[in-house]
Amino acid sequence: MDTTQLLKGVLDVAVLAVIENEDGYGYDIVRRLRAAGVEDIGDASVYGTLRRLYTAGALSTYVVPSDGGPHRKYYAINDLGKQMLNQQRASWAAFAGTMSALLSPAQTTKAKSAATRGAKK
Amino acid sequence: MTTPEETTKAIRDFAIKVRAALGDLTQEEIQDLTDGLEADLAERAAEQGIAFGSAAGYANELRAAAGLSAGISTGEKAESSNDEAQTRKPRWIPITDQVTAWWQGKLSGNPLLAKIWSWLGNFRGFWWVLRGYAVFLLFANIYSRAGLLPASKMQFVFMVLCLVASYVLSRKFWGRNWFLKLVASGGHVLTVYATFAVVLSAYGWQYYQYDTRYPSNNYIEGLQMNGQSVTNIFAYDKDGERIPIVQLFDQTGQPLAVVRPAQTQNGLPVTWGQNKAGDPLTLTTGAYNGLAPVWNAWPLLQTSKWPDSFTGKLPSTPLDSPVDSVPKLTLTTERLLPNPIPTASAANPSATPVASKKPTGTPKPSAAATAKGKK
Repeated sequence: MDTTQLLKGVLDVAVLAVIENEDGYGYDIVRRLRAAGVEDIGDASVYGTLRRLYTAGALSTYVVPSDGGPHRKYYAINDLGKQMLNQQRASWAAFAGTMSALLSPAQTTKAKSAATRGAKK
Repeated sequence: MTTPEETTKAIRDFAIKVRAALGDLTQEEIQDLTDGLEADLAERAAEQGIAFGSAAGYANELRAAAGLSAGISTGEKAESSNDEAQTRKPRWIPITDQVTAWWQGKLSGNPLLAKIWSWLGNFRGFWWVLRGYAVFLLFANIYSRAGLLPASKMQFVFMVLCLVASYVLSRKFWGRNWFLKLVASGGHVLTVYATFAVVLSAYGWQYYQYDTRYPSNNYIEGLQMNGQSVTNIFAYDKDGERIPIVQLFDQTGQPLAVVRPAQTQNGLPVTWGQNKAGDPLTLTTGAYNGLAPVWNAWPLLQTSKWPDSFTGKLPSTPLDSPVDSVPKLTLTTERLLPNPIPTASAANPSATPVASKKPTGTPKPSAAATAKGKK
């Protein structure tokens, strides 16, 4: 299954969760997502998501000058961001539970046998 | 293995291309999306090398994730096909996008510059008004004579249009439409030119401009003598007696008149002038050809001292002459000798007179009179 498509729907919550642990700048967040196992993610998708979350008021930013190199823009989660994260956590848990139950092999077998019984009647 | 210089160049080039591909967004949006881009790319390059892939693809991914539709600015209507618009784009478009991208890159790499730029952004509204007003001043002064404020309803409407256009120009309305972008680029060039022209003229360049402009355009308003406006003429005959009214013509037979008298106040045609003391006067002509006022019939009549107190009534008292006394002239039909030419004077009737032309008595400049004078 193409996980890139699946990721699109949950990138917001993934990014918020990463930033909740610790403030971070663009590439740092990409790196942490990858380290957490979210590997098929494009850098630009993460940066775009950061910008959108910032525009939505879920993140605040500050600039940190770096020695010798270009400055870094750090993102930090704020109260609205935390609220959003908690809501999305709940939605995800409910959705993931439903999907897991639906897709578990036992469930699939039960459904199949129910369908066979229905056909016999 | 890539050298640090190659890496830096690759990062810079890629960042410029990404910003160029986002060129249809507002400066703020581009800045938000690409702030820190170089730093992120540098870190990525350190881990994965400089194969960044397609800049356009990167830009599209950025804008899609940020919720900014391809090829449009926030809240504006989407165009059907971004790719199609890209391919039809004339060659000069990337240049403007790249200039924008180059500037964004500078801002991104220099926090102090970025701070100053963002501080200047506070005066954006002031700049919009200034450039709109500058365009108004430029055109109003080219096509008619205006002061600092609109002199008529038309000029007022024009000024408002200029201000609105200046605001619209700041709204990045063109998106990916190259024709609108061409119009907008023209608008930007014009507004910058107008602002420079107006600011420079405020510093005294107008004198230079007027001096060179008038002779080339033959645009001298009214009569002039030694650079001063002549707003009234008093005529005397050879005996030094005032001629109540005289019609004057120049060497080509043109009426010698105020060029632009045609304003009407309270039903009378008026023009403006000054008296001997330099006070402003409202003047009218007492002479008509049928219903048309004749403006080369001198002197003009003084109707009120101040232009705004004009009542529309013709003056009942004759106009005072600015000259106390005029000498009586002695006339000769002989040609003047080149030898000492004493000044004609009533007190010295034996002196050789200066006047050589015999008055013909006709108001029109006749060829005969001219010929006689030239003999």
